[in-house]
Amino acid sequence: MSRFGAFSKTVFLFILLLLVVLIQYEYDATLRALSVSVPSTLSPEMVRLTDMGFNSTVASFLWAGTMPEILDLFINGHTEYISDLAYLNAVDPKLSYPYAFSVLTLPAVPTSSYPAAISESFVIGREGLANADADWRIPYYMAINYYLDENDLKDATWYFNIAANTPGVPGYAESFALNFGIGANDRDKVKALWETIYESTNDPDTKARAAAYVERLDDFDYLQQAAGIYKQKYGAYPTSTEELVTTGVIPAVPVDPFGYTFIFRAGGVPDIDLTHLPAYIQEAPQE
Amino acid sequence: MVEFSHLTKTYKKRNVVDGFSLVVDVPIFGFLGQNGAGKTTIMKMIVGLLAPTSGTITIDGVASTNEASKKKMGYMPETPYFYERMTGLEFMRFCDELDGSEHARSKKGRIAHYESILKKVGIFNARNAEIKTYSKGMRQRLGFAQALVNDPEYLFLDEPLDGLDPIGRREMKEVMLDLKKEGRKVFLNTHILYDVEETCDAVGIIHEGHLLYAGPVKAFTAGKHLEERFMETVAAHEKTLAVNARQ
Amino acid sequence: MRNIWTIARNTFKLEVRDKILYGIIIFAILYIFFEIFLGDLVLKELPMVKSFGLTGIYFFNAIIALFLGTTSFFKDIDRKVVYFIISKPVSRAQFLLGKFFGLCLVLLMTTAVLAVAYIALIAYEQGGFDVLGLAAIFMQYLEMALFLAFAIFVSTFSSSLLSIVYTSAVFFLGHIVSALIADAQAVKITGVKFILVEIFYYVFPNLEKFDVRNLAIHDVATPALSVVLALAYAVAYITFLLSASVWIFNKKEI
Repeated sequence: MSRFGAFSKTVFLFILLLLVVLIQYEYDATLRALSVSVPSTLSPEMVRLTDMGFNSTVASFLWAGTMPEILDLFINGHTEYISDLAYLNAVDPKLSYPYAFSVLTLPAVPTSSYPAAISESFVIGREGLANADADWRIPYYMAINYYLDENDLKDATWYFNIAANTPGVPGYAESFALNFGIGANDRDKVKALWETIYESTNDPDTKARAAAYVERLDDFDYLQQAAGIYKQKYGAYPTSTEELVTTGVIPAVPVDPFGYTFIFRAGGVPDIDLTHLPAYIQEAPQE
Repeated sequence: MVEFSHLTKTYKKRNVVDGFSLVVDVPIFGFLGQNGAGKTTIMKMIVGLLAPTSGTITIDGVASTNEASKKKMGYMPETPYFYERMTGLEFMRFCDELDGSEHARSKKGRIAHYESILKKVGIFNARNAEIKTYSKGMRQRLGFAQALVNDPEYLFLDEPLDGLDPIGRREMKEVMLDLKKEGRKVFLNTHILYDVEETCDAVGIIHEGHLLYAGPVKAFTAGKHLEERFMETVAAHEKTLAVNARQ
Repeated sequence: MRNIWTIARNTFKLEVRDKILYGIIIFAILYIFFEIFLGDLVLKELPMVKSFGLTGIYFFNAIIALFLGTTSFFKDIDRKVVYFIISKPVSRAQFLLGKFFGLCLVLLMTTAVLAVAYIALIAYEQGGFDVLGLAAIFMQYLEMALFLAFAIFVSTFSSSLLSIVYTSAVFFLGHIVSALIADAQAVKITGVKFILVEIFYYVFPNLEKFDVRNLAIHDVATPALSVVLALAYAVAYITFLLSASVWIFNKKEI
C-alpha cells in the first residue's frame, strides 16, 4: 500500500465496500430462498430472570423484530405476529406501544387471512389496559374499533371515557372522547348507558363522572327542547344560546359540566363549541 | 555517509526544522542544541517515525526510510518505551527478528550474540527479568543494546546518556568509542556540551530548527570553552534574525 | 510476511500474559460449569443448556475482543512502544496486520478453551458430540474477528474510551440492522428516506448472519451456502476495515 496514490486507495476501499454490499445482498437472497425459521428457545420467564432488569430494553428489541411480522398477518395469515407479541408482552407487560399498535392495526387485517383479527384486538387491548403503563391510545383505539367495526355504542362510550381520563391524552383526543355520543340519535342510548353505570358502580369517581355525562346530555335535551319552543314562537331556529335567554325562553344558559360552551347548529341542533376548548384541556405530551 | 538535503518540517505554520542541509562522514557526530531545538524531530525523520514536509535524508545514497537503509542502522529513541512484560533477552530477540535477521532462527547462536551485547552495556544480569523491573538507567542501556543487535553500520542515538549515573555515562561513552574503533558511524543527539566535547568528532549546532554550525569540534571551540562558543553562535544567529526582520 | 508473523506471535505472547485475560477465562469456564447446576434446577432441557452455553461463550469472547481490540493497538502507539518497531525495516501495515492476527490468535485460544469446556458439558448432559454447537462457535469466531478489525480501525483515530463506545455501538446495532430495514418496509418509508436506510443497512456491519445459535440449539443444520457467504462477508469486511486502518495509520504522526 506504500506507493498508491490517494485516488487509487479510495477506489480500492470503495471496491472492497462494494464487495461487502454484494455479499450481504447475496446472503439475504439465499436466506429468503431457504427461509429457515425456528422458535425462540428461551421462555419469557427465563428472559426476565436473566436480563438484569432490562425488560423494557429486551422487549423493545423484540418489538423491533416483531412489528414487521404484521405484514405476514395481512398477506398470509401467519400468526407469528400474535405469538411473538404475546412473548414480548410476557417479557415486559408494561410496554404499552405494542398493545396500542396491535389494537389500531389488527382490525385492518382482512378477515380472509385472519378472521379473529378484530376480537383478538379487543383481547390485546384489555390486556394492555390491565398491564401496561397508562397509554391513552389503547382505550381510544379500542373505542374506535367498537364503534366502527362492531357498532357497539356501549363499549365505545365506555372506552372513550377511559381514554379521556388517561393522563397524557392530547387535547384533540380528550375532546373527541368526551363529546362522543352527544349526537341526537345516540343521545338516549348513551344517557341510558351512563345512568346504568351510575347506579351500578360504587367508585365515587366513576359515579361523579357518570353523573356529569348524564347532566350534560340532559343539558342537550333541554337546549333542544328550548330551540323547538323558540322556533314555534319566532318561526326560525335560534342561532345561539344567548338568544334563548334574551327572549326569555330559558332563564339561563346551562353550564356544561365538562366546561365546553354550548352552541347551535342549523336546525336547532345543540352542539358544543370545539373551536374554544376549555382551559383544562392542554395538548398533553404523548408517551 | 549521511546526507540531509533541504530538510524541512512544518507544524502548524511553524518550521520546526528549517531547510536543513548537511553531509556527515565522521565516526561520531553530535547534534547539539537546547531542548525543543529540533534534534529529535530530525532523528525521527531519519528513521521514518515522522515524514518531512520537504527535503530528503539519504544514507549512502539511498533514502533512509528504505528497507535496505534500515537494515544497516540501529536507532535508540529518546526515553525508550518497552513492552513491560518482556524480558530483556526476549526484547533483544524480538528486535532482531524485526531487523530482518536470518540468524534469528537459530536460537542458540543468537542468544550468545544478545548476551554479549547485554554484557557490553552492563545489564547482562537482568536479561531474564521483566523490563517492568528495570530502573531508568537499565532501560537506557537496553535501548542502546537493541540498537546494536543487527550489527549496524550506522547508529542513531537520541540522548543516549540521559538518566545514567556518572559511572553509567562513562561506560556508555566507552562503548561509543569502541563502536568507532569497529568502523561504525554514530549520530547522537544531546544537549550536554561536555558530552560533545568528550566524544564527538564533529558537531552540528541546532537552534530553533536552524543549523548554525557544522564541522569539527576543535575548529568550533578554537581555544574557548564550548559553552562560550555555543552562546556566541546562538546570539549571533538571533542578531541576524533581528536585522533581517527590520529590513 | 515474516514481520507480520513475528509481531502476531509477540502480541499473542504478551496479551496472554495479561492477568485480566485469565480472570475472564476462568470466569467463563466457571460460568459454563455453573450451568450444570442450573441445568438440573431450572433449565432442565438440553436446548436450554446449549443456549446458555453458546450465549455465554459469545458474550465472554465479545468482552475479550472489545477489551483487546480497543487497547492493544492503541496502547502500543500511545505508550510509544512502536518507536522501536516502526524504526526498523517493518512497514506500518505489517505492524497493524501483525497486531490484528496476534489478537485473532488470542481469541482463537479463548474460543478453543471455552469450546472444549462446552463440548464436554454437552457430552456430560448426554447430548452427544455437539457438532452444530461447534459450527455456531465457529460463526461466532468470525463475528469476533470482524469485531476486532473494527476495534483496531477505530483505535487508529480515537482514544481507548471512544473506541470502546464506537465498538460497543456496532455490537448492538450490528444485530438489529436487519430488523431496522424490515421495520422500514413495514411502515412503508419510501423515497429518499428509504434509500438512506438501505445504504445504512448495507454499509453498516450486519452481524446477524453469524448468529446460528438458535438453529444449532434445535438441531437444525445451518445451510452450507449461508456459512460460505458469512465467511466471505467476514473476510471482505475485515479486509476493508484493515485497509482503511492501514491508510489512516500510514498518515499518522507518531
